[in-house]
Amino acid sequence: MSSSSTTTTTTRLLMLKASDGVTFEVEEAVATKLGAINNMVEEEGSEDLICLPNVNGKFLGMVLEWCKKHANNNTNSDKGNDEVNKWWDKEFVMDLDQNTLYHLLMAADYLSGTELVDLLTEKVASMIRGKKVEEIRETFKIKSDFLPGQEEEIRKKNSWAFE
Amino acid sequence: MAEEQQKRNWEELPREVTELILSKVGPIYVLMSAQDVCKKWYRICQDPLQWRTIDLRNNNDMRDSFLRSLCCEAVDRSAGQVVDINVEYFGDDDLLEGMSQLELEISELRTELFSFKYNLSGMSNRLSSNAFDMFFAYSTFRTRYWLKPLKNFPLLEELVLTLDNFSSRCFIDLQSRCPHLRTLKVNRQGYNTDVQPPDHEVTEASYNDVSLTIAHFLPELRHLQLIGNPMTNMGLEAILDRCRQLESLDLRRCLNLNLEGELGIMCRENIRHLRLPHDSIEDLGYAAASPNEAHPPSSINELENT
Repeated sequence: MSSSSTTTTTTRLLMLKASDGVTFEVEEAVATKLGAINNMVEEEGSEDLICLPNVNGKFLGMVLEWCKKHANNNTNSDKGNDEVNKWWDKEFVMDLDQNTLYHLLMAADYLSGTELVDLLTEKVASMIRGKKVEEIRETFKIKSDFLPGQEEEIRKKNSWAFE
Repeated sequence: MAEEQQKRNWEELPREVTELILSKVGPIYVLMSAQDVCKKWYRICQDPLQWRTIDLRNNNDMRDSFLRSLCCEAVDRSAGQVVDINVEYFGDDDLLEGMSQLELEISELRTELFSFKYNLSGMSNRLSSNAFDMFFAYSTFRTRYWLKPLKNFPLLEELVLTLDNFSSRCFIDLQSRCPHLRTLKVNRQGYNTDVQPPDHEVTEASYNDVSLTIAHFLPELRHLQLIGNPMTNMGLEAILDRCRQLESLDLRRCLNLNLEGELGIMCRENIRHLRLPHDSIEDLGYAAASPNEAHPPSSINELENT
């Protein structure tokens, strides 16, 4: 454990290139919070430029902002940091509009940012809880793809729940 | 921006992300509405793996009978995959009986890697006095029926009971019936209702009924949580003496304890994770959402003064 302390002092910088050509220079310790990037770094070793054709700059920037915050908060690891992270996470998801939430979730999933996916899916779940079917469809602009009659059948099957 | 708007289509999220979202929505709202939103969501909600954890805790704004039917439906859908079930506050005799029977059916599907966590929190005050005897009577029955599986499989590792009134008899012999039981949580919700009428004879032994029984019959425990337990130092001494392998002990709101003397020192020395009577209970969530929290429970000393 303690022998690795020399390697952590020199911070390697990675270049991440988004689908729209926007590049970000990030510390390795921050970027490797994302499972996908961690794998690439381990595999390719010396390569410092990583292209991410499936994420656009705006959302990659947000994902990295989140990573940076969490990487910083985790360095001085005392108990209070959990609280700081939680508070910061709450702020982070509070005002996300649905479009951003969706693309951010896609980006986080693509980059295997497990903790961020966890945070964002919880946010989505909180938007579903307590709503009726129609309200959920309306909120997420989902069209019912059940065949005519099929939906009624399902409703009938679930009618025990509303007795 | 307009292009992004067009591309947004929640149905096209990767399946495992949608699964994660729906599992976070929880069984209540999945069954009430989310499953009927579209075909994809409907199919996911039919998958037994989606029902491994069934947490039916809620804000107490739903009828118990309704929650019980939701519970039965959820257990049904799990097709034997359920590993953790929480029926806090609405469980009753019939539900327990139903679940016990379901378990009989699913026992055959279990593999050695399968650990089972059976969370029966919060039967609360409404539980009739013999319901727990019944649950354990069922266990006895199952032990007989499942003699082999119980020896070979880690069937029950954690038992959580949130109850105000029940007989300590259910702990007698529990260790031999559940040899892998390592975590026990016996929490009281309305612990300050413990105050007896002034004319009621209260002996120290009756306060220690649960703690002494646990100490005697469950020496293998690693984790013990006894929130709001009325035990006195007598009960705690017995626990420390018998349960030598305890790693964590949660004594929050055990207000009859006096940990200022040697007993407190012993606790701190022997237990790695110790929670004291006056530590915060904020993290307990629903289980501790006692409406009576504003009035701290009375201690024996106060009782004697009345």
